Amino acid sequence: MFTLRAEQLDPEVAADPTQYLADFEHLFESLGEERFVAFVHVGEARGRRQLHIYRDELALRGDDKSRALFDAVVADEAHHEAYTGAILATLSTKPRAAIARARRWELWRAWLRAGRLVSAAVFTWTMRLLYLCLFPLALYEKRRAR
Amino acid sequence: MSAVLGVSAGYHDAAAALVIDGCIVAAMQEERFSRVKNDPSLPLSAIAACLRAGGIAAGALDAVVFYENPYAKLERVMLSALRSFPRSFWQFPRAMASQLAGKVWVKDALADRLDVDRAKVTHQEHHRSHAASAFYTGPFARAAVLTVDAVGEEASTAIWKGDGKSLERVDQIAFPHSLGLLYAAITAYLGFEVNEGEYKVMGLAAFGVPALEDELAKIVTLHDDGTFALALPYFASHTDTELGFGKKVEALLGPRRSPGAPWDLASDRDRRYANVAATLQAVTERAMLGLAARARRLTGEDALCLAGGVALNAVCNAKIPGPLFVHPAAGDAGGALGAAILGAIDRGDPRPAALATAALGEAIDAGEALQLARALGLNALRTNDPIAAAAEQIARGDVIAFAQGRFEWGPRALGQRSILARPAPAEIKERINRVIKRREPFRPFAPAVLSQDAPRYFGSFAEHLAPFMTTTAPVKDPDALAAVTHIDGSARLQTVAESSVFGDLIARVGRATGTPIVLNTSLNGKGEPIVAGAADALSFFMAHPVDALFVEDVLITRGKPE
Repeated sequence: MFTLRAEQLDPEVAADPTQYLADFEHLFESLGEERFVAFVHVGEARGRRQLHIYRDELALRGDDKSRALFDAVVADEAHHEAYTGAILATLSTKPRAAIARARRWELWRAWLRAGRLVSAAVFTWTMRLLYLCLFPLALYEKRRAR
Repeated sequence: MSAVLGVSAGYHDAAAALVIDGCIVAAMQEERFSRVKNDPSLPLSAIAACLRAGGIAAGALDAVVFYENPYAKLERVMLSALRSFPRSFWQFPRAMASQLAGKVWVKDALADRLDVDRAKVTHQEHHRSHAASAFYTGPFARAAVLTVDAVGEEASTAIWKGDGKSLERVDQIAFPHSLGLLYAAITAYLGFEVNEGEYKVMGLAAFGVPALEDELAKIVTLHDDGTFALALPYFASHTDTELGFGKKVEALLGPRRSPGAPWDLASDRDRRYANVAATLQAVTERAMLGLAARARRLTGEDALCLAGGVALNAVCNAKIPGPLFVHPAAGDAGGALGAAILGAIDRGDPRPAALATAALGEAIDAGEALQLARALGLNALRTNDPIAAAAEQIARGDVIAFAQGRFEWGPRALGQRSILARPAPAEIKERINRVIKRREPFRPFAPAVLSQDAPRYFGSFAEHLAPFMTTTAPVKDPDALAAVTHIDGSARLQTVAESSVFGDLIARVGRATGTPIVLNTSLNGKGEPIVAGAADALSFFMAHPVDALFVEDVLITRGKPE
């Protein structure tokens, strides 16, 4: 259903599944089962909330076709949220603590991600500056390559 | 006598290879373990598996040899960016990040992760590693060696003279003039993934005619002396790392094809793309014939060894006359083995014996497969004669997944991790292409045939290439082998010795059906690396509708457990 709608909106993106494949981080192995399920549960809950916002926005715009799609997706997300919650309750003696820990871990990841973005921006502009400074060398190299 | 580990990584298809006392002990690609197709990351899992196969610890290695010179590569990246100043302004930070964030430190990373003395970690030159992989594993004592790929440190193409243990460079063509980059650029133009879709272009070419020779002549010039030159304004390798072709290519050949769009070769649009592929293939073949003749002329040798990504073009290899050997992992992965052999020879070890098998990977664990299958509620049992059972299933028209022994080195499944079926009727090809492997309908399948029976079914072919499926041959009776005959009447055949397990299976299929040939395609799903271990095999079986899975002597089917 998602792919069908994606195809209507942008066939080029829809045709390439690598654009929506997930979990290249092998989190199940690195976090362990309990922490992984807590992480998925937190993600599903956030996803449901965000998709709900989109659904309401689409309803306001009168785009019934896309809203209907999001109705189905929100229901699906609610189902995911519920069953990951249920699994967590059976796996963990303290499910609420596990959820709080997953949230803290996500915050830490967001902090690292922001750090990476800032350092990437600094690196990019430093390299661009360096590139411009290399102008005389570029002229020499162009002449030498001829 | 020494133990040398060779490593390739950083660009695509990372791999490790272990040579002990001049013998090739193991060679494996990282993708088989990480399950990421063409995984370029430091091949720590492949290294660990190689060391397990050799029964030694990393500390006992005499040398770790990286397959290329990371510092020369950084220099080339910087200089080519400067040569295209100021057009490379936007690409420069990304190119430098890719080098400075990891590639240039690869030898330190290897020393650190393997906990070996940094002085033990050395490097070889990219094309020299390729040349070594082809010459030292080939059957010739003396040979011309031709290495052709996208780009190494600076060279894109090199000619070498191999004699015993010596390997001397005779000639080279420098980046950006590169057949590999030409093929990659048109691969991207046709909507396929670079470093992965090149063999799809090769398959597609048979559906077209080389009707765009005049247009391609504007992009690449082939000289009478065997060299070639690209018309650089058509390429964007300095300014666009994603595509590699410039806007002028679209102006010349028409709009590029959308990636992933379904194929309809009856339509004018897709026939035109097939013609582009056919023309590219024809030009590549002419270029390779010119280079092969040049290599023989410059070295005075008749025997020729090939390596580098372009040497994986089996259709092209089939057109090269004379004694020929192509390394089975001719792409960058093969550089790991070449580097290891060079490291061993530098320490006085003998050159290895000619490669008799590509089964240099990790063995599959039948016990693990049995346990997993039962845990998954599948019908799994040990059989006394699994080869007879597999042959019986193939003979009655089933499609089976077959995993036995150590997995293959290189991109071809050669009977260790294969999907097998009868070579006819054509519907079998349709079933495997559309239902099991879910791939483009024009993609052909390979026949595996007993060596002694091959001349009965196929026209002439290079005897040293066929065991590794690196050549093609005309099919004598395409109707009898409809599922393995490509549209142009050829097949990428594999010859198999009857003394091997796979040969025994083919012989039994032959006795049951009258045709000692099986359809052989790689045991993997769409976009996945070929299966390595038992868990991968079970994972494939659960997701793909093959009729049975054989893991050594364990037969797994979908029925209820008995």
